[in-house]
Amino acid sequence: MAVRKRRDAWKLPVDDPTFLWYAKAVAEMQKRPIADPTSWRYQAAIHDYDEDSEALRDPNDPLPKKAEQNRYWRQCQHFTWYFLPWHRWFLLYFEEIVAATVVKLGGPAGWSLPYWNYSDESNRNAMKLPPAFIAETLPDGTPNALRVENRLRGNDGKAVGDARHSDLSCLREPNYIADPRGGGPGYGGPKTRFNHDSGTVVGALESTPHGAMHNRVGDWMASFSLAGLDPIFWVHHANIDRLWAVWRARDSQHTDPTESAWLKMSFPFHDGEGKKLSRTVHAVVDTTALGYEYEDVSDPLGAAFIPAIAAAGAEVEVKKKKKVTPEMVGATETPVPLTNGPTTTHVAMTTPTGPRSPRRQPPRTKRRSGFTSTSRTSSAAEHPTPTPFI
Amino acid sequence: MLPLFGVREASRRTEAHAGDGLHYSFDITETAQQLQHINDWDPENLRIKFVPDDEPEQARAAAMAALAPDEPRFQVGRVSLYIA
Repeated sequence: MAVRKRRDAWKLPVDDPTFLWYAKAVAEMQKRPIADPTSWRYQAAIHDYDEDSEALRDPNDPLPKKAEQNRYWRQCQHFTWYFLPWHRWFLLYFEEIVAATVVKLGGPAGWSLPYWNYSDESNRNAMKLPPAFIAETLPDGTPNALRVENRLRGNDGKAVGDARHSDLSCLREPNYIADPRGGGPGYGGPKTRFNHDSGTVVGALESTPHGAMHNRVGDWMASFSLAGLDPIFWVHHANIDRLWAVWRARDSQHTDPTESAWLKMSFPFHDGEGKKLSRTVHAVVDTTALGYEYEDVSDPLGAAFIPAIAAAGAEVEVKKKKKVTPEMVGATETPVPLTNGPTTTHVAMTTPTGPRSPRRQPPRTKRRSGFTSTSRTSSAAEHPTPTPFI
Repeated sequence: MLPLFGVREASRRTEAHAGDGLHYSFDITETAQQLQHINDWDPENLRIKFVPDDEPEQARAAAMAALAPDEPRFQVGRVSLYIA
């Protein structure tokens, strides 16, 4: 199978055919009835459909039957270890539908989704929407379907956020799965069953940059049910999908779950021709097997890159972190309401009684990889420097 | 960052869930170490400050118009501190 490349939207020329054909295909898909699985509105409804979507519907455009809605709509997986694989399948079949539409319109075969790398520190425009998404018209003077007015930011050509919103600290998360005992959020989120919008722990990547960038573009992009109506949604998610590949490539210990509950989970979709199918997580982990790869999956943090060192022939000693059950040592006693201004709350830390208890620790012990401080105040002796999670 | 994407959806009571909102988890080891370094680490009284992200004037005005000045826009149910 020939492997296509998904390219960086900011590195493509403004007049690259990728954007022109995306715009034409979006306009064509918008004309299709909502009950057509290859229509623009059906695709957005796969992610979510609610009263906000209903408000935008043409009353003369009938919805699919309830049974079909129940199986194919409101499927997006969030706050779960299925967040990454489900969205990968979702993007792949959306890309197939756009590519098939491009061909029907007389365009070239093999159209690929570009990605929006807002975290690219070598590009001072990275935080701006790529120009093809804000131009009001196409070169032939017709309206540009890649621009939607329902954005809070970005259509004015200014940056939609700053380095906090595109921060990639999530790439340092050592584990894919969230610690269920009060520890880290995991790169890919918590172990759950099918999870559309039930509130569990938000995975590190899903939180920032994924969620932060959704809200910075804002308006439709800030809503599960409307986000897919904005063409930038798909380009944003191509970048999130790319960051899954980046995380795996940057450290040999960054591995996907191996549990069958993850690998064997399946989700229903329609392919590029509108044919019904069901796809497992197991079949989605390797993008080249799916027929695509990303232009760049290098490590943006530039940290020690173990596979590269190993490839050069050096022996690499990999120290596995010892797993310790996190112990809760403090919590707020009442809910904290957030208003339009800053809000401060207080937590008093209690002395741990478990493995981090001062009674169990010899003085000057280096307790944990990465914790190098050995000088403590007297109160800190009673309250050791935590590895806390709030 | 505490991105609230999905909070609205996760806070709605549905057939599938009770609408309890979301949980976020942050590693604050470095922050704790920095505070120790500048002698501002007081475990008896840890202060956590929530600061709203900046919003365009238009969105801020709309939010202000929709709410009384001190009416909560969101609520944090609990902040817990863990050590490992």
